[in-house]
Amino acid sequence: MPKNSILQTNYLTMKGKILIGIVIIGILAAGAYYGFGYLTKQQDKKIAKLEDKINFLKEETIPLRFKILEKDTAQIKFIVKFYDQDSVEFNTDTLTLQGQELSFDFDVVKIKKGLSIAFPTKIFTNKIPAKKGIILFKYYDDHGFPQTMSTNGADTSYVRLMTELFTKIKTGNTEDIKGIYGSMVQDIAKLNEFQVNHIYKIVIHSKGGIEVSEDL
Amino acid sequence: MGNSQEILQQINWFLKPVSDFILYLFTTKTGYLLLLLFLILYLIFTIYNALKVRKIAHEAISRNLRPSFFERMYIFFSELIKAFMNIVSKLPVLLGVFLILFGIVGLSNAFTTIDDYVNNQKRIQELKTVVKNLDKSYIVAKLNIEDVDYVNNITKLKVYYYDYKLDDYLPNPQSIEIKGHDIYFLNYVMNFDYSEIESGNKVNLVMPYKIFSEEVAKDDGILLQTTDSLGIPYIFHRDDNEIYGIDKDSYYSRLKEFAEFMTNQEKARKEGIKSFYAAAPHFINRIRKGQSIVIWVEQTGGLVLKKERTF
Repeated sequence: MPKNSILQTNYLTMKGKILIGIVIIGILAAGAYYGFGYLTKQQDKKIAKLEDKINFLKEETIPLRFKILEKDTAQIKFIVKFYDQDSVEFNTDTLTLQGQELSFDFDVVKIKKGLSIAFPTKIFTNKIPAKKGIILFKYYDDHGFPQTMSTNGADTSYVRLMTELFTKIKTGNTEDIKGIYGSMVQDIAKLNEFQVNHIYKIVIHSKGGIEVSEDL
Repeated sequence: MGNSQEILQQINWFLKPVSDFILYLFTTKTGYLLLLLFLILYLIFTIYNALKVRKIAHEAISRNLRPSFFERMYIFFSELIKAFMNIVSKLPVLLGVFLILFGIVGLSNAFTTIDDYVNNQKRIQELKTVVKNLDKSYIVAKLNIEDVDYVNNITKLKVYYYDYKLDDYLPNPQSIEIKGHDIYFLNYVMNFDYSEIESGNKVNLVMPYKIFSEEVAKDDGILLQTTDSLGIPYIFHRDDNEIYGIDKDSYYSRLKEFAEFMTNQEKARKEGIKSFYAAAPHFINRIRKGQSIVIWVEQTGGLVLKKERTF
């Protein structure tokens, strides 16, 4: 075979190899792009789900706030305000109790997996046993519906469930409410007392924990 | 994985701008205008060059000789057609160039997608850790109801404190007898900011303090024995793995700091403590002999109470 022909054949073979190489790289790049693109979309869904879960875990509601008006070694005078789920204040009262530490008691009910709600039940102090505390139902009993649970867009089944739970709690017929328990929060005398003229909030967490802290 | 991602990022560092420029040229109006401008310039220079060559050729024969208008028109159109024919004849090469150009775009996009995938994977891991840390609950104690006397309204119970070092309840419970049957299990609770909990740097702390009931006021309640021989509350006992990021000695010295937080609110706030209060979960339904009630501290804040699951 003449030398020129051999060189031409080699040149064509090399061009073919380069072309095949480019095509293979192209196919691999396209595969990676679409493959990883699909996986990234799946990841985005997973990320959104995890972020929702985090937001849900951090969800808080504030059914009541209070402010200490006067306090001495014998009694506490305070104002308490009630709020619905949309943070709208709907009732308030000024109360005086014997004692130095103020206790707010709730009934906590798990309504679905990972979501608990709380009904304020009574206020008592370190000197007054729970049994003799101030019952709070009258402050948020709206014709049988617990107004602290009122929210815009509530459907009939929600209203029915809340009314049914509230009726049972008010009358003490809680035996058939699965997982119900009481939860009281209060200040700690000498260590971290509620201060006069400071506003405090009671926070209900989605998992059922209750927290009291200053409303800064 | 980290190294591979770095290599891809480095390659993409120069591929990406090239890819962006190619996409700009072939997908935007300005890009098309630029390409058209290049083509027009190419044609102008080609035709101008041919005309100039013909003019010099005429001048070489006679200084006064110039190409006629028709000749110039002929050259103009012939060069125009020649340029297009040249482009057509080089189509395979041009296609090859296009293939390479779009290969660069594809490669750069593929690298970007892989980079996004790896970054998303990292984000998922981070979020999973956040969910895990927020969703965690720790056992504080277990109340075993030994006897409920509804006639005399007296409840007898045993309190088992959970020791995280043992990873079990302490073997010696505290026996309690109290008037009433709605038993309030009072604790000091210290909740940290979500950011501290999310990162796993801190766990909400609980120290059992007293037991009282619906009949017995808190001041008349029964004090709980919740500390070891060194005075360290059992709830603070942690297995080495549970002591986040610090050694055991440092951990116990941190406990002293926590004691300080109780009396220094400003310091507490700086350390990410969002609330410090007392909380008492209580079992409101009719308690019965043999029941076991477990108190948990939630990392989102507060305490919860659950009946112990029995087989």
